[in-house]
Amino acid sequence: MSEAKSGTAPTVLRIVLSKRLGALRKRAGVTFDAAAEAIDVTPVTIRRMEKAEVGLKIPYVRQLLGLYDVPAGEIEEFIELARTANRPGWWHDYRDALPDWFSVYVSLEDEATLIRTYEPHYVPGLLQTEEYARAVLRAGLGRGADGELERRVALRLKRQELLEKPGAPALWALVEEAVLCRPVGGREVMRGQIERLFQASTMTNVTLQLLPFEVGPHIGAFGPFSLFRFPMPELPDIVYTESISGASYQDQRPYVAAHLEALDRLSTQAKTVEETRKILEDARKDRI
Amino acid sequence: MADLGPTADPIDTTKPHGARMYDYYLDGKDHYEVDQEAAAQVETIFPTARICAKTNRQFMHRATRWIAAHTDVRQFLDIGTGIPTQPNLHQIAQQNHPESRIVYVDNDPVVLRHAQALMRSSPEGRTAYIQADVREPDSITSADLLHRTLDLSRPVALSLNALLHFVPDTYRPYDIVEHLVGTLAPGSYLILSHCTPDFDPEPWEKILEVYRSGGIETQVRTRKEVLRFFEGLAFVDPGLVSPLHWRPDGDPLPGATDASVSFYAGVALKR
Repeated sequence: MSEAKSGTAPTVLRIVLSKRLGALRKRAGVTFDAAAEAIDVTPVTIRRMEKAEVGLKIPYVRQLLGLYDVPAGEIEEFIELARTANRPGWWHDYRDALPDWFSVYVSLEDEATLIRTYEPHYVPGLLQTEEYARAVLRAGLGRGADGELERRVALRLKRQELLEKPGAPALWALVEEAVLCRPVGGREVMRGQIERLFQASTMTNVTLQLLPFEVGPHIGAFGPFSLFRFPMPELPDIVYTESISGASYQDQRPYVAAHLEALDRLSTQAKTVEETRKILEDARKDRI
Repeated sequence: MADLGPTADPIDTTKPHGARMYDYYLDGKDHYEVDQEAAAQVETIFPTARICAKTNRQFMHRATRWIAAHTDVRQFLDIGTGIPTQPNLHQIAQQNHPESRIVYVDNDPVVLRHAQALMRSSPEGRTAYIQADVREPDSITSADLLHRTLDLSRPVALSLNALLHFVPDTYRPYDIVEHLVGTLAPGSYLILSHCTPDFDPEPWEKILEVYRSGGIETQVRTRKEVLRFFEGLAFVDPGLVSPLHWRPDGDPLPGATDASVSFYAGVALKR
């Protein structure tokens, strides 16, 4: 994966199937060109199918698996999974409020078993209160339409259901202490948000660590990023980084390992879970 | 244990790290390039390193399950915890006894942060995390958090899985184990596994060299030497054996043999 451009966010399942499709082709010793010729498409199309950049067209998949000598029973299993993978996720209902580059994020978040995130500026989206989210999103939208703003707030709140569902992922967030100092939405909003952070810090699937100012300059300080891990062993971790105009999703091992190392390093420089809870508790008292 | 200030850097990516190499063998994703290189080097000498690590991991699962099912012990002290890998010790212990309490100990701050983030107890029980070095066992047995989490007047299952081959004789490992076991009440158990050259001596000198050249101290031990760790304790059947043969409850991994695993494992009772 690389830059996210296409409007259809691949589900994680589609990424897995795409990778498996590539592995089966290699195992069968079939080249891109030969596969393309067999189903009358360009080699680029095969390549894009294997990178999950396009949906898995069922008739193509069926023909390709036949070409790769996959047994009939396994082909049907694969097709069934591909149908599931092509089904739109819940976020499809929010596509009016979801920039293309971010729909990938939502799909990854939805299927991850572990989300590790570094946030220098704001409370992570999954832990924001409604009022805090509204204030942050308003700043991002400038003087955009109120209707769009409300849809985005609704989407963010919908995403948060993730942490409560059965089999919820583990969220391990490293958040700059500065986030507590940056007033977002006014005093009341910040009070509610700090309350929410404290409550989240007691959840068994949430690990919250504040990075205190005293750490000084550190490896993460460029900007926010997240790492997603999935239950399928064949699927690599995916790293998300963002900028003003879009986002990048990378799964190459050296890239992922560099971010893993940064997260590990930051986690030892940050306050521990207990210390973080204490800071939040004090902050909560200060603001009453 | 050195007190790490906020600016101390705990990660040295110029050197491999034992826990992260182990993560690589277990098909985990929490290792860096330098660990992968060293682990891959071991694999060229000992191609079954993954089978070895996974078989040992399975032993930890079975031994913990056995303690939970056949004894009244609901307290666990796991030293040399390593990077979390599902299922973790507390998940097994708490499966049938959610009230079980577990103290995880590791000397690496990164490993410990992972444990703390991803190895959370059931609401009924507890898990605690202590950063301490087994080579200074007193730093473990005198840790306040240990005493606040476990009741040492009652039995504890102490697990030293795949740990003591990182403690060469110069650190007096027999005294260490004696000290640790000595702290525990009668009715406690020792769960221990250890690398051995007994089944396939030839590759071991080279394997140890990979670890040593990466700055990781190691020493493998013969059956007689591993037996000494259990001195004064009463073995649970079948005694000290390859983890493959310790109460197997399913098919072994393909390719798993005494030689490809090259480990000893045992569980013993302190009377």
